[in-house]
Amino acid sequence: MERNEDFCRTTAGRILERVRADDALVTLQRVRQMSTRFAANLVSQNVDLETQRVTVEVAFGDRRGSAKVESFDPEALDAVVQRAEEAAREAPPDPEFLPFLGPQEYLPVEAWDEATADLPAADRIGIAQDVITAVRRASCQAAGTVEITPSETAVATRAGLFAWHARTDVEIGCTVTAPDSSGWAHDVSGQVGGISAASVAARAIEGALGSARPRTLPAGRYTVVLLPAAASNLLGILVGSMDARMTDEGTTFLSGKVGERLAGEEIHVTSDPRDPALPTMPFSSEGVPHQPVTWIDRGFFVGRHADRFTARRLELPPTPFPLALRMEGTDKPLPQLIAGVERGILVTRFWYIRPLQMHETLWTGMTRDGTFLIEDGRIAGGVASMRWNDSCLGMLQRTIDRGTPELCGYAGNCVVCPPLVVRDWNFVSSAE
Amino acid sequence: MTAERDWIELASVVPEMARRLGASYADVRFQASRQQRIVARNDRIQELEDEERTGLGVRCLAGGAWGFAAVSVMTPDSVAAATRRAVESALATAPLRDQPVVLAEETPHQIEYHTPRREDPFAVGLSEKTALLLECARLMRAEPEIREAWALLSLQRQEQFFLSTEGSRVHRTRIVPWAMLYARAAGNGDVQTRMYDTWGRHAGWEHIREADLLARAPVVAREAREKLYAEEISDGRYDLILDPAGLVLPIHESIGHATELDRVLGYEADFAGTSFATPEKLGNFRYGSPILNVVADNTRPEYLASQGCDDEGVEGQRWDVIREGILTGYSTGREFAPLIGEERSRGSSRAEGWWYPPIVRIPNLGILPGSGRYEDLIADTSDGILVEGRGAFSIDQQRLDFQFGGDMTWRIKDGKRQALLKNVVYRGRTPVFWNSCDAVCGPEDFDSFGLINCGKGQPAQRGMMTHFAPPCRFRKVEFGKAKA
Repeated sequence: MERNEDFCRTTAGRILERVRADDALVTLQRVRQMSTRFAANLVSQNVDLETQRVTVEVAFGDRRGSAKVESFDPEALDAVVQRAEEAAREAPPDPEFLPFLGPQEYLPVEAWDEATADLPAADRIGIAQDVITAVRRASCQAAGTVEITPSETAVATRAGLFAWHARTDVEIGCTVTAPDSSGWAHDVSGQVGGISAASVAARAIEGALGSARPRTLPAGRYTVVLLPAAASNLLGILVGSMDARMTDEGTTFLSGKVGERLAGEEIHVTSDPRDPALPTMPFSSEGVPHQPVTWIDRGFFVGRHADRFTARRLELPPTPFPLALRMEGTDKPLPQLIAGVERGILVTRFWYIRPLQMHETLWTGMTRDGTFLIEDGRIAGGVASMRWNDSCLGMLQRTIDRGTPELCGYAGNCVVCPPLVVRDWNFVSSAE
Repeated sequence: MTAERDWIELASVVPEMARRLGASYADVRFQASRQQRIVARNDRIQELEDEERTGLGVRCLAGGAWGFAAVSVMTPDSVAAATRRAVESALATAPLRDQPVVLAEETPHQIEYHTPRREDPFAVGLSEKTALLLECARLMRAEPEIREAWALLSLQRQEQFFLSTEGSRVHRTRIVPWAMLYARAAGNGDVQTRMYDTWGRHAGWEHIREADLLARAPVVAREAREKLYAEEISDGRYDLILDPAGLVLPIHESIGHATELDRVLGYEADFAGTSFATPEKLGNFRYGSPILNVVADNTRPEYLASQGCDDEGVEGQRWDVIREGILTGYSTGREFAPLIGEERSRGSSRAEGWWYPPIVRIPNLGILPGSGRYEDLIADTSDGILVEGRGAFSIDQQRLDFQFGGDMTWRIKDGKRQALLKNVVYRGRTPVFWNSCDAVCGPEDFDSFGLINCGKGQPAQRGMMTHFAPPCRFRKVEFGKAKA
């Protein structure tokens, strides 16, 4: 796929010319999604999807409507503008309507890699085969995916805003299954050179073989070492609930507590679209700039994401939901963290995380693909999957140690998180 | 539309084009879909979207390996390029596969299948829809404790032409309306929610009208408020009665996903997971008590997994999944059925849309009625908990260990529904739970529920299916508080 800012600018302009409404915002997306899936030590599926999507949002006064279509053909563009305008004419007045934005300044983000965008299918399939070959050698079963996604997004308004971002994303994930255990590893990068089939395979194999012959532990409270993939799940949920509107309405954990210290001074969480680990889109779907934000400042919960209307009402800067999160860690390697735990459980990743009490950030989930018992500061073998009911806020409040941060996000989403040692994790049941 | 006729002509040449390029089998799905999504939150319409998606997906087998490519740009060049890419990726994979894909045989079908409707939901004006949702939200906000009142409406129409090198030609249209009311109340030092779900159904706008959302909205709000003052229970074991909506999660998560043959064979191990219900258990594993009969039925037109043929051209079928408590069948696709020695696919392979290849999905699945009335079952329970609707849900990746909740929960003492409860979850191990089932009510209290957002696959795809059941009772189930 080739990126083409001029094409996006011209097409957006042609769409805006068609609009008869008072105000308009146009979003263009071109995506090529190329993936190879493997399972049972075989390549099981190839997908090559090419889409182009137009979203038109218009307003007559304070009545808004939007429509989408997957074509840049002139007839389709006429039709999508017409449908958006029909919707706006029939829509009730929006008491929160704000005119679409004019020109904005965006942080420079370079996230495009030509070699990744042009990677031949055979090379992508070859990466999958490299994982399979390594796993076969270990007499285990591999299942996973290699995904390459070049894309470009443009946002334009009648008021003169034009934002454009092109990016390439690469992900490789693998679950390795042994007779009575499993392991998992995942890499994400903006460049195909940034992922390693050998490393992913080796880590997943190590997790599967190391957790063989798992024992069943009784439910109860344990000290846990949450590897970055697990810890970052709950960190993302917590920041997700730091919403200015809902907090103001009294339904989040932060209601009445904005700016208070709710965790230890070592807890520091920021976001920046220029994060070198994985640069992210520098603007929101409305064209609001993503700026560097401090969400948790040495234990003080100071950040909130706020839509434009709520931001104006509460006198906050408009702050989109962050696409890049970074939690500060230490330079301690994982073995050093484990060495500090007398008895506990190491968790590679969580599964099926669902809310129990959202306003308390209380969620439930299972451990999966590499759960280990720690005894006397050492890994003492595998543990059967365990269910937990615990809170995301509690995770940060009960963090007693942190390791070296690692990139553990997904395509387009940068999450850099350290492994965390957390006391009194609430396991409520255990698989037999 | 002329353009669509042109596109069908474009699509019709794809199977032969793929064959010429080296495919031994190919199918193409051309699809035009439309979705309206309207969301009211408190006093405003927060979302009003009208989306059209048109495109074509080509799937082919070449050298015993799969390739798939899809495009939204429908020109002769783009369709030819997609076909080429699909075949090329299959051919690039073929040398690496030491076991070629072999498809179960299926007689070619020429079918027109259009799901029933009385009133076209897209012919109903947007102003009527937005007014209905805003009024629902206003009615919910009449309760002062309601901080968030949501009314959501989704209308989907999908028209598809399926053509294959085997000569199948399937034309289907489906319309799925769905609405939900959701209230979030704060007070008494707590936050609680309550919802009303119309569930999805193959139907027209009449499905929304008959749901009578305006009458439901005040009830949803009142019950959300009542939950703020509900009691909590002590951890322990109680008899559990699930109403038909409360059974949706246990059926879906612990039977439906557990009996998808692709995951049983490890093909979902990296994402959705595997299954404890492995092939050697087929025909002999006691999944549940002898009164438990679970059937898959992709033939009832109003149910969401019924579409004439699945997305591999296999005719919709009905089969036993659990008969008298014994595991008797899986949901399968053409690639997987032969791997356990079955000659024909169950026709349960579906794709979210033209943009992804089909994968094995849960069929329409439910519990056949037994006998007895719901109220009599409650009267027959001395120390239990009644769970209605959907609450928190989570299950391990092998579909063995689950924790579920409901939307409304009551204590039952001495055969009577007593205090309203909150923050209740129950936990279980799949076969232990289903073997503890000692009562299945009769057809009088039977109901069905269409799910529109089941997630599976890589890339992730949404699937739709309907579950159905009468109320059931389970003995001595583990309950706990949803607390840290």
